[in-house]
Amino acid sequence: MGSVLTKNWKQYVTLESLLLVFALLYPLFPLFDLAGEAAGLQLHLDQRLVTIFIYGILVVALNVQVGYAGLLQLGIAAFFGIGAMATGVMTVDKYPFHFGFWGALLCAPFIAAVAGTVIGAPTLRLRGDYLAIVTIGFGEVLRTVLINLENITDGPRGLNPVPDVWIPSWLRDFAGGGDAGEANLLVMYYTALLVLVAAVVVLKVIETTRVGRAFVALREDELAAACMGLDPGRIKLMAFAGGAALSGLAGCLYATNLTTTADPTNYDFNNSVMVLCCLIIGGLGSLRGALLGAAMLIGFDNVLSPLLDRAIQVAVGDASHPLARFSSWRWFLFGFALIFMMRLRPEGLFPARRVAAELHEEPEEA
Amino acid sequence: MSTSADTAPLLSVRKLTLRFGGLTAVSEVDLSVHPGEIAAVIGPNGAGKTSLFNAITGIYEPTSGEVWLDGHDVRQALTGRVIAGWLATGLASSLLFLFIAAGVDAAWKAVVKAHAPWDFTISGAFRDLFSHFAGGNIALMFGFWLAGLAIGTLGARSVWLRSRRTPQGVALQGVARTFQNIRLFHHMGVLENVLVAMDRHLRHGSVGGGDAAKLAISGRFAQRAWLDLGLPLVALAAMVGLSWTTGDGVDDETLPSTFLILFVLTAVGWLIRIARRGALSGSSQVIEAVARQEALELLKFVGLDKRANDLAKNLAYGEQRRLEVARALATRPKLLLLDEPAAGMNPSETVDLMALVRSIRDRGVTVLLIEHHMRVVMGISDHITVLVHGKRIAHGTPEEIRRDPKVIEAYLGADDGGH
Repeated sequence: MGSVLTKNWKQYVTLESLLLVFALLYPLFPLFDLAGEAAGLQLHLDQRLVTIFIYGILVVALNVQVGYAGLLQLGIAAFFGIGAMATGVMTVDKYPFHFGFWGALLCAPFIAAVAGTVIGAPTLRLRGDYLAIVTIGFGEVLRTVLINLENITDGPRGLNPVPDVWIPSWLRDFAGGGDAGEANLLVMYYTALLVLVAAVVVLKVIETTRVGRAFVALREDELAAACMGLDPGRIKLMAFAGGAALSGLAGCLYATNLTTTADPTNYDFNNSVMVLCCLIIGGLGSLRGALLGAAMLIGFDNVLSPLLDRAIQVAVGDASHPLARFSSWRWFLFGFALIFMMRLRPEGLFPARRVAAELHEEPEEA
Repeated sequence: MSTSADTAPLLSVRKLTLRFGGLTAVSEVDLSVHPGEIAAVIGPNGAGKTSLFNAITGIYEPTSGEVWLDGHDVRQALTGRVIAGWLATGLASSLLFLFIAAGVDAAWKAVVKAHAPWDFTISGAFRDLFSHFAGGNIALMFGFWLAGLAIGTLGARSVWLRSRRTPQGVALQGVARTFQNIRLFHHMGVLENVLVAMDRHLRHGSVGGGDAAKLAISGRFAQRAWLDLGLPLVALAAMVGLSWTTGDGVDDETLPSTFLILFVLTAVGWLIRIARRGALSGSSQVIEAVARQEALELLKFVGLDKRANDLAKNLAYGEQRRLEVARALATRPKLLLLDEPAAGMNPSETVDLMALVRSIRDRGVTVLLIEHHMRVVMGISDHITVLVHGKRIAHGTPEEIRRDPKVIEAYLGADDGGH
């Protein structure tokens, strides 16, 4: 009897339902914030979590390209930037388009996917290292192009203001209790969460379908897959464009959250590598791993280290010396953690079953 | 099958030569396989048998010679659509070059920034764009445009020329194969290995072994994936379109609000539906279930249905070979190429294999095999081709081959004496 109950209980503990817990947590954030205030810390969990959700989408997008299709992509931030910049151009006041947030949400992934197809179609014939070099190059070129197309992108200043998520005014009044800022935070939080859950649900389903099988088959033995009638070029392009579309979606949310397209250096190689690190630490090919990696690294960078800085300041009083700031140490710790991970658990914390098997091939056969 | 010579050949290899640098692996080999027969290619190690298979299946590009299947060259034909594809690529790249020549930044300034946002019209934008182009260096821009057109078209053409013969292209025309060194998808399940090979049938919904009723179901459901996702997308597009045409700050937001709420509800409903059924649409769920049934029947045919859920790498050697056969049959080939199917098998497994090959032929699949076991080859083949040093030295029925003095000298005699 008990075992039946546990079984029933366990079937509801899925990735989606864990994410939905965040939807229910939102009303409790003011309590956390109050508790933080008491300790002298400004938590702002809602704002920080939105960043994590957005990066979660980006890591999941990279997972489609690197984890599923095995394409070593080192320029994911470029597509993130394309999504953000497209959103800016489509929505800011000074241009005549005024698509609004929802229009941008509809178009940005499409534009990013077209860019992905244009870049992918000629380059996906390259293998491993060469593809990585091409994608690094594309990322760097795009950053420079965005800075230099000053008439379109406003260069390093970025386009602003990108409008908030539009919802009916009665709903806005109801959500924020009359306070527009509160309403915007709440709407942004739930929109980002909904998009993340949607991405996770769709990809989880795709993993089990014909397309998901084709990805695995292609990773395992491209030649055998081709001899069974699978078109490697088409499948890789599909993964590349799909990942680019999801990154564009994340870029759209990013620009909306910041209310600006920001300096194009936000979409440079560092960002791409950060996202790749999230994926590798979490576990290649696994959605759980991708989200956990995003939560850990982006959480470490955006939540933990500013909070620790503040905590040290509260405790010590004067923490003006750079060595007394935790954020000065965070990359050191991060690098250390990465080396340990690669040494002890190269497949990541929550790897996909198959990727783990592929990485542990030699010990098994020895 | 003495009548087979009267029918048109299913596979015909004409004067096929394959050179790697200075080494000639296959030299001017002719080979015809007629529908419904079991044909064999034999020859000592290094005779070029596997190279011939690789050339037939599109893995290698032959140095010269042709491979025809069912009356057509296996290379992709040059059709109007292909040429239209080159031209489309050329046009796209020519526009890219044109904008580079005109300066995207300057064009944007002239077209979008020249007016206040509320003065912008689409027809005006086109006018501005043309006058901006006309104001530039026309000769330079025309040169860039032409260069873009040429690079795009010729690039697309050269890519096409190099990919006329691909393994997937040959496979889609009805040629399936197994490999000498087993190439299964080792970390996938046994059933999944077969399902991967059914990919094309899953995509077209043509599963269920030709069962008309099932096909009708899958056909009728075939568009459902787009219907399911279409509703939320239409709602969102309607909302965006409405709020765009009415402009910002309009009092009446009833319709946009309705469509936004409709979008959120239908999108969430869609997500819940696909998560519960584990498929993107009702039709794909039906097709997947029918395909699994079909894959299981194939596994039963090769005697692996009990191991459907094991990982492929956990199968015994002989079982792996049979799984490769099942996977190849799942593509529904006209012609099945078996590369040394009996390698590493014990005598009783070999007898089973011969029965299996015969029953594959009885399913209507023509078989061409490479084999070293003389008992297998002589026992089941209708026609045998003998390759030595990449050259065809003999061709005929097993009886003729057995009596052919050239074969005895070059292959059977020498080889048998060694054993």
